[in-house]
Amino acid sequence: MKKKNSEEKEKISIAKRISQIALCGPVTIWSVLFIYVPMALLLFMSFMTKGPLGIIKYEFTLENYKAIFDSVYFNVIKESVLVALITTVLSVLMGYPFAYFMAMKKKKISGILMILLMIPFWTNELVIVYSFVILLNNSGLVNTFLQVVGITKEPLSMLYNNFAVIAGMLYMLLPFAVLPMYSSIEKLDKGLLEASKDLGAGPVKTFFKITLPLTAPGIFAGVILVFIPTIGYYQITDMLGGGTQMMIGNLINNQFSISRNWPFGAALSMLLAVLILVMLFICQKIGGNLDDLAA
Amino acid sequence: MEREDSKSRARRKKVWHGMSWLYAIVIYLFLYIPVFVMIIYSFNDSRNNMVWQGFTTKYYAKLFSDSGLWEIFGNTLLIAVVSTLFATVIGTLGAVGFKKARFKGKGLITYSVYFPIVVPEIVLAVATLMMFSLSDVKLSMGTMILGNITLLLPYIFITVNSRLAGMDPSIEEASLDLGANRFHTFINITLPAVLPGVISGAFMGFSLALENLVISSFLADASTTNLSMRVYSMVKKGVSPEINALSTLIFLVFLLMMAVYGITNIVRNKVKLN
Amino acid sequence: MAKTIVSMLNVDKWYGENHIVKNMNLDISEGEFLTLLGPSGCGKTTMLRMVSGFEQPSAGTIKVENESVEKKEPYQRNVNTVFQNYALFPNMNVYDNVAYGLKIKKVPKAEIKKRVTEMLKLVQLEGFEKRRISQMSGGQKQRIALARALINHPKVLLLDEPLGALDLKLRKQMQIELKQLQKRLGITFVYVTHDQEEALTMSDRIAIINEGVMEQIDTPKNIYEHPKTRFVAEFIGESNIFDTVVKNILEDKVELAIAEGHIAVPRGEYTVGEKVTVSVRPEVMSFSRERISGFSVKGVVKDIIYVGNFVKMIVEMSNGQEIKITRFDSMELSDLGDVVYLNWPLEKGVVIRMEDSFEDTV
Repeated sequence: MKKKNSEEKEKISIAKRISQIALCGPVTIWSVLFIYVPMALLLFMSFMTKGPLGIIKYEFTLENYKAIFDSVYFNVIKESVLVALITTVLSVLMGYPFAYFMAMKKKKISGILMILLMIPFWTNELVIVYSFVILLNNSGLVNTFLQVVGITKEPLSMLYNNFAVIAGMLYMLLPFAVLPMYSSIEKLDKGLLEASKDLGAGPVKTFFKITLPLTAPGIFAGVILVFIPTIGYYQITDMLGGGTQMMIGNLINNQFSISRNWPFGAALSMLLAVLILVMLFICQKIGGNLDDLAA
Repeated sequence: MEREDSKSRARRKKVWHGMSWLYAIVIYLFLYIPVFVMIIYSFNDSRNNMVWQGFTTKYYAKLFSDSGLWEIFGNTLLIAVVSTLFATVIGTLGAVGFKKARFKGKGLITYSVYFPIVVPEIVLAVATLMMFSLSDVKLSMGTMILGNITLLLPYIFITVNSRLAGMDPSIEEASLDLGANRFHTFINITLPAVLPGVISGAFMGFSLALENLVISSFLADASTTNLSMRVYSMVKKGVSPEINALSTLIFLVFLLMMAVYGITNIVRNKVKLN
Repeated sequence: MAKTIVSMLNVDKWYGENHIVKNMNLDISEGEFLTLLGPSGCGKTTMLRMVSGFEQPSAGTIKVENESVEKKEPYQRNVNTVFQNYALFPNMNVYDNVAYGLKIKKVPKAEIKKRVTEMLKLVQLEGFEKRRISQMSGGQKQRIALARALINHPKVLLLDEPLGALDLKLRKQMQIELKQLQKRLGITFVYVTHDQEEALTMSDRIAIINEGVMEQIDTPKNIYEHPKTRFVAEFIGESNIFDTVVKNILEDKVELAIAEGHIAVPRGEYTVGEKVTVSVRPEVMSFSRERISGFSVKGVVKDIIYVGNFVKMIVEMSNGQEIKITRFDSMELSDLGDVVYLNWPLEKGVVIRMEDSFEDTV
């Protein structure tokens, strides 16, 4: 028996090495330069002190993080997590039956249904969000319709509140919930459903015992894909919340556009990033697979 | 008795079937009503475009004479094209390279490539802005492009990777075996094999870059604006139907592109069959 | 002795902790059809990939035409490969696939056309030039892969289980075609397979590989009739293996003790008490109702299986070991449950005396 030292590193020829550098080099440099360096600076900035007139004093402080727990800001954070959670839950509840419906159709039909689902997203999303303003305002189409039909006498206040914000976000993100759930339902071995029914389980029991657990990775992926953008959005809250509604995104945006408090903005951004990464970590632990995001 | 049973089961199935279609239609209505509103209100004869005032096509005419809007449209297109191009090249090379290469820190780099989809855009926007400002880089259309490239990279990476997963790795070896060096193998064999992934990633990236708001507005200088930034700034005053008209046109161009793509696919498949 | 064209000198290959190829020494002669035969995971494909250049040996040297190929890239080596799943380029038609190697070498177009046409004729695929790969059947793909490699006039053609994906009938037919082609072209073929029948049919020599070690290299006939190790005896064809101890050394033969009784082999260099393994092929076995001199192998007929042109008898000895006997059409058979004595011509018992092939079962 030879000793283990013959198990040295794999020999790689120079030509192979050059080709690997040519292929992997650009993306490696890019990711260091435009992900790691900025994120490191963000972390650094979040511990700096704000000077007068938006000037940054390079003195270490924990004030920015302490400020997050001020009731004013903390309420915004609680509120945005709540709005993001509601949007996420609604998009899964609305999206799952739809994904199931699509997945049970023949390949050709489900392909068409899928394209129909994606088409609205080739429009400018802000213009679409503005359509919600047209639809939901007091003299807008929905209120006019409700009054003409006679469901209400007074116009319902549907704009510039959480209802409008959640509706807008739901609109933006529903397909992102549907896609991964669709792909996991579609991959499901339909024989299992028949086997379950064959063994005497009713449709409800089959759904909860077989379909749901097996498609859970798709649901996880959907949850992640909806929750992440939702919690960072500021444009939808701005347009449909009418400035009364605030999300973390708005708060961060304000630190750069209005208050010029970069260190605090950096601390809030770090908080957001950490919040998401922790959530991803938990999801992966529970069994959600990040690869499904690629679907 | 048994017949009754099967009859009622068939009826129940029919009801279920109808209800599921009804549900799908409701979802599609939710998705399409705002699109139709956008299109219809591009013909609205009103300046603030909140309430329907009557039919007009004047905003389409105005669109073609509004040089400011065309400039913005040009900026948007330029940023989208250039960043898609760079992201596609870097992302494709990277995805192909990462599949086989083994080096220290590969995992860390891979995670970071996906970072822009995993973390809200505003975080990256803020961080990049700080980097440029601390290193005294003046904001410009160039910085906007840099930000957009980072944002698009993961999409290219994902779509190319999914093609690579379906590719028989031995075709690359076969090419080397037949005397082609690694560069020729990449051009002749690997690239054609992943091309559909490259195209769909580029398409996805392009449409994202076209309507990018967050990172673009953080990294823009005072004189450069893209379409989404313009729409966003107009919202408070009410969107002019001109913007609706422009969005409608862009939407139609996209539909047309998709249709052409779909038809060429169908034609190609037919040719293959013959 | 023909000129050596490929040689492996003390080649080792590690994948991390796994020792895949162990101190391999192998000489391949020009123009021969050599098969590397072994179970999956035995290292035979890795050996092939080290010759083609896709893997580097962890230690040792590989020479092609007396020249070390360590520094040569796969595309600089004068060997070509036929891959397991053909590895045809899906984005090219049949013509472009076959022409690929010549195009890379910038051979003039007219000559490429001439040679591709010739080559397609050789593999019986004239007229298929413009077809897409996806339109071709498994056997056709196999031929294209072959043509694509052979058109470059390689010194050595490496074939990695090329027939594995074909159905039995087509496989048999391709085996014969491949062998004829090799003879006609005179190119050295190094063929990897786990199918012993394929190896026996086609090869000039077979190298039996097990767990990274070469167990035996020889002609198919010698390998079959004189397996050197227990592994070879069991892997090639069917064998009845007896683990014995030398009991008596007589004038004309040597008696070996088995669990209950004894068998015999011709005289040779033995010492009493030595452990010896004997392999006997089912087709050389006979049975009788009475004991025959030299043999005392008693058993009960447990099963009789009809396999078309012959019959298999299973005889169970009292220690539970099952002995297989092959009987041809006209031969006498026994009934189920009969007690029979087994014997065979002395010289047909193959003695295996390698220590590591011996298990302590006696």
